[in-house]
Amino acid sequence: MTTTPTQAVHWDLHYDIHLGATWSRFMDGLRDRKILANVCPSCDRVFVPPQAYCESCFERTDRWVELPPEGSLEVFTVAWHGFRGGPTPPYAIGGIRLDGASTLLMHWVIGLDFTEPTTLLAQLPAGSRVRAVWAPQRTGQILDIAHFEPDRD
Amino acid sequence: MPPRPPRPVRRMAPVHVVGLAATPFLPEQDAMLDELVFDVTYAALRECGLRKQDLGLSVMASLDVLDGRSISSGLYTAAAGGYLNDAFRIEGDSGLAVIAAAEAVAAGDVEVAVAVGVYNPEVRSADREARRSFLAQVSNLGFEPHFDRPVGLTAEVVYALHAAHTLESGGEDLDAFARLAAEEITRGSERPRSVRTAPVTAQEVLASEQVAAPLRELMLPAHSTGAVAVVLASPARAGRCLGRSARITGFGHATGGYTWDGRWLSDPAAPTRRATRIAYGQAGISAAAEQVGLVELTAPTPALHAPYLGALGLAASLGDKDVNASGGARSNFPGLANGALRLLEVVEQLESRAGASTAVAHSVDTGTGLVSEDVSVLVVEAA
Repeated sequence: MTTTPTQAVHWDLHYDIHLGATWSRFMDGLRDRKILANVCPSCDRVFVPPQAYCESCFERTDRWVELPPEGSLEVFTVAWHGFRGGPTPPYAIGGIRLDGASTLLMHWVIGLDFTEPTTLLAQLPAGSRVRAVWAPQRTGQILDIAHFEPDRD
Repeated sequence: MPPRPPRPVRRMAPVHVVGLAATPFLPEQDAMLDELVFDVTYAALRECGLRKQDLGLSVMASLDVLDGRSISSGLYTAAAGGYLNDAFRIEGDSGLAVIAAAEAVAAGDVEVAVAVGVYNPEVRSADREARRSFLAQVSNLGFEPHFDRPVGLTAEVVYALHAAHTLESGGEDLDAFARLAAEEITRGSERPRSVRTAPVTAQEVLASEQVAAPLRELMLPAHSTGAVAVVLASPARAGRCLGRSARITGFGHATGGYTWDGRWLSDPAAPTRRATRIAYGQAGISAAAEQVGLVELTAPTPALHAPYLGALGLAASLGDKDVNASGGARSNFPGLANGALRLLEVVEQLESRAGASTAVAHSVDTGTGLVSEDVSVLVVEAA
C-alpha cells in the first residue's frame, strides 16, 4: 500500500484577541461572581453575552443589569469526539437561558450519566433548572463559570 | 420593533449553465489544489466549446484554513481561468460562488463567468478520526473566541443541539431520522458519485457510531473531496455554445443569526426561507408546489430535512424520488464544493427526466453548522 505524499506544515500563531469595552465589563463581572447583561432601550431584550448594540433595533445597549446564576437548560448534547485544543470527550454542552435573559449562553453541563448513551437526552429534559458553578480561581474569562450543574433545589 | 415587510423582488434575466465538470469524489485527493481546479475548469470550458479567453470573471470557493495556506486562492486563481482577468474568492460554500458569477452575467457585466468550488482539506482524510478531529478544530475556530470557542462548540455540536431540540419538542422521533438517512443513502448507493456505495437499513443507521447525541455517523453528510466547475453565459452567448441546456432563472442568498439569538434552534429554516423568497421572486415562482418538479436539498441532519423542504414550499408536493434523487449530502458531501455539486445534480436530472422542467438546488455552508448559516438557493429550468 502506498501512502499519499504530503509535507507536514504547522502554523503556530499566537493571538491576543481584543475584548472591547462591552465584553471587558462582562468578564470583569465574572471575576466577582457576577453575571452582567445589558438591555436594548428599544425592544427591552436582555443580552448575555452582552452586546454593544442591539442587532435588530441597531440601538446602543447602555443599561446594565446583573442576572442570577440560575436558569433553564433549553437544549444540550453530548459530544463523543474531541479535537486538538478542545474539551476532553465526552462532554455535555447546552444552551442556557439565564433567568431574565432573552438570549442563550452556551456552556458545559455536568451531572449526566454517560454510561447509557441512548438515555442521555432524557436525563435533563428541556427546561431543566441549572445553576452556574464558579471556578475557584477566576481570571476574567468565560471559564470563570466552570460549568452549569442541575439545580435540584 | 416589528420587522419591516420584505422588499419586492424583480424578475431577472436568465443565466445559462453551459458547462459543468467535476473531479471524481474521493476520501482524499492526491493532488495540489490548483491541479483540481485546473482539471474541472478546463473540462467545463471544453464541454461548452469556450476558451479561457472567453471568461470575463472567475469566482472560487475555498477556505484558507482548510487549504493550509494563507490566501490560498493565490495558488489557483490562474487555474480557474483568472490569469490577467477578473477573479475573486469566496470563503464559503460554492453555491454562493455560483450566485456571484450569475450576478455578473445577469447584470451584463460579463458574458461568460466560471464558478469553481474546491475542497481537499490538507490532512490525511483517509484516516477518519484524524480528519474528524481536524475538521472539528477548524469548525471550532469559526466560532467566537471569547464565549463559544472555549466550551467546544463545533458544527457537529450545533447540529446535534438542533436535532435534540427537535426530538424534545416532539416534532420527529429518532427512528424517523434513521429511516430518512437510510432511504437517502440507499437511493444514492446506486449512483456513480455516491461515496456511500452500499444500501443501509434504519437499524444500521441507529447502530452506527455515536457522534453527538442524538446524531449517529450515518445521519451526517458523507465526507468526500473534489472540485466542481460551472460555466455560466448570457442568453445571447449561450445560443452559440455547445454543452448543457439549462438556465438559472432565480438565485437567493441569506445568512442566519449567531448562537445567542437562539433562532437557529426554534426556526432553523429562516435563512432558507429568506433566500427562497428572493430566488422564487426572481424566477416568477408563485406556487412552488405546482411549479417545481425536483430539488437537491442540503440537509446536514435528518432533523433539518422537513424544515428546509417546508421553507422551499415543497413539503407536501414532491415524492421521495423528486427530493435528493442523488441521495443528497448523505451520499456525497464534498464540503465547499457541495453547492456546485447540487447544481450539477439538478441539471443532469433535468436533462434525463421527462416531465420535470423546473428544479431547485439548495446548499448551506456547514462551517459553523446552523450558527451564522449561509444559504444559497438556485432555481434552474431546462433551457
